[in-house]
Amino acid sequence: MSRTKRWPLIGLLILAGSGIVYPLFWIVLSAFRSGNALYSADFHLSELTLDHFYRLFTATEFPLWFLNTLELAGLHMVAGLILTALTAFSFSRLTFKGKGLTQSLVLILQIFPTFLSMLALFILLDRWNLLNSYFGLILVYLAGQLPFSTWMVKGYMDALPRSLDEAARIDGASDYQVFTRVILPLSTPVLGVVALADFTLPWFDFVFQSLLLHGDRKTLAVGVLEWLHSPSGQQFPLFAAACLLIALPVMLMFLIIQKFLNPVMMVERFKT
Amino acid sequence: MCRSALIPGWGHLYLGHRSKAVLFGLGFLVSGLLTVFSPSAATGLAGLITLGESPQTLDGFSVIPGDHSLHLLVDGLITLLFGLVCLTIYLVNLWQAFMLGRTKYHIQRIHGFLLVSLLPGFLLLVFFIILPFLLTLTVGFTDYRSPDHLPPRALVDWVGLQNFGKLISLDLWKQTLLSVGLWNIIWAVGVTGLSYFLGMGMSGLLANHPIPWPNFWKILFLLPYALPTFFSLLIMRSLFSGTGPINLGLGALGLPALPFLTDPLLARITIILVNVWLTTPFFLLLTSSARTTVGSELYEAAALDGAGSWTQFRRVTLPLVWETTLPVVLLSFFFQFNNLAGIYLLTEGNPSSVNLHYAGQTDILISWIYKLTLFQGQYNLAAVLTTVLACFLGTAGVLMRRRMTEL
Repeated sequence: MSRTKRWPLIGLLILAGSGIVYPLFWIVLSAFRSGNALYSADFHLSELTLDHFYRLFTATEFPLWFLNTLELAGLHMVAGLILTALTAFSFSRLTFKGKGLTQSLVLILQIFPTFLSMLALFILLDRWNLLNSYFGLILVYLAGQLPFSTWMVKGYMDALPRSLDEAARIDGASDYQVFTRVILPLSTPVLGVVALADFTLPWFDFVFQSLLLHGDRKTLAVGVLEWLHSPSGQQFPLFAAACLLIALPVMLMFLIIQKFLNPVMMVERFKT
Repeated sequence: MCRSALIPGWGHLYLGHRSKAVLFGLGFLVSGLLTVFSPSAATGLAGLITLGESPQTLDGFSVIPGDHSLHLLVDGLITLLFGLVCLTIYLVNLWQAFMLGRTKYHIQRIHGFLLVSLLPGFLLLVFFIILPFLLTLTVGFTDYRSPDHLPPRALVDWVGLQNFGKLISLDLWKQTLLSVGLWNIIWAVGVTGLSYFLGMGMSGLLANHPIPWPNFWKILFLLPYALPTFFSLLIMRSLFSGTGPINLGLGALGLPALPFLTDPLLARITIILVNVWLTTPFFLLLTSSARTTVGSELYEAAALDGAGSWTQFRRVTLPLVWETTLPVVLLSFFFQFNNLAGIYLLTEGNPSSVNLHYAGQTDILISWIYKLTLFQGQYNLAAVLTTVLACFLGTAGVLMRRRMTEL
């Protein structure tokens, strides 16, 4: 391609790039500049400060919320991994009656978001005394994530050659051994994707957290939404600083996992 | 068969299927016991019918507990569910014993591991997806709403189809449902369609043209995907707010400030564009990997036939990539259709309108339901709307499943 034709293209890339970067740049700027001015046009280097981060840790409940969310996310990730691996394995490798029907059900359930029945879940958790407990919330999340992640992991396991588990079975391996010794080690990439999805969910979801948690059980999503609704609006730089601190672990996790993220893999899982 | 009818599992045991016999016997016993001894089996089914007779009352300062209609409803449903499981086990047991006795019918060996691995998922499915679903459905037939019918201080009663009737006959509700539903479709089609074609275009640019630092651009374009949507949406909300940086920038250029999130039409456009910003990276990733599955010999053949790059794209790339990605596009469409966060975190459904009942101009069905539940206490109508929405999704899902098996 000639050099003259390249410039409009690069111009286009820069335009699109700046559209993406501008909001991010702006939030970084707000987090590091001094004062509570929400939006001021001029800016000097001397204004840079770590004040907001300091205030975040000393004057607000941010550390508590952060640890709460981390706890929730960690527990959810571990439980989700075990559950998904088990369910996907039975769908992929074991035979049972009603398998076809259950599979269709699992696929269709993916388009029903859990929060469709938020009112009912609230009533049920209230009845079972699980309000304001992470146990109840995690059960809700697990049920909601299960159809999607089972389907994804099952698709991946289906693609693993059957000769592997047949060989193991000839050597006398039980279902359990085929699962732990053969299939599980080979499925780490797709389980990594599930881990990422399950770990990040509690950092985003505000619907169930604002419905089910309060007091010292509050998480980041709930706390941050409350800041934004506080009448002063003075909290904005704090919000920006909090955003940065929260985005970092999640982005880090994303970078670690991203080499496993192959959307074609997600496509393949429908071909059954 | 007679043995099985008396004690589930006995028939199997008699015919030498010991593990299956134990399974049926135990399953029947456990679910049967749960049905009979569930928290309120005695009042459960009666409670389900009456939903309680006497509300909680106050005697001076002491509270005299009465019937809690919702608890009765929940317990009744659970008892019913256990009973159904018990009945199913019994019938399957009977049927299998019958088949076993008649012919040389062969039943599958039961894997112990299968039970262990499927049971947790099954229980979650029943108690956290199906039961809530049934509960939502039933609430739609009651008068559970604030302020007059809030347990434990008041009772909730069955009202039959009254709520569904309200939705059809009252103009305000009907109008809101139609207008919110229409916008919901425009929104989902708009966001999914626009971001798909933007992502497609960008992946084409990155794949077919020699640009400096391709990896740098790729990572840059993927950034919005890596950011937690919760925060990107809140950031966007302050960016576009009345006195936000974008309006400040417009002011600096001597242009008037624009009501991005408060003018009905402009708010709808803004909200679609912001969500396109969030969704495009996903489709960029999707279409770039789908492009790699298109064989290069197809392009060579097309080039031999004299097809230019545009024709190649239109006749080769587009149809093939579209076919590969269709399932994900459909799923993404339904995600967008119910994208509560994408609407609520940006505008909360506002700006409000006098023509819409408890809904704003940018509200989609699910955010309308969310607001009805959380702020208006119109639980029964929210439940009816949820049922309507679920019927729509269910139909669409079955159609989608059918289309996918054809592929």
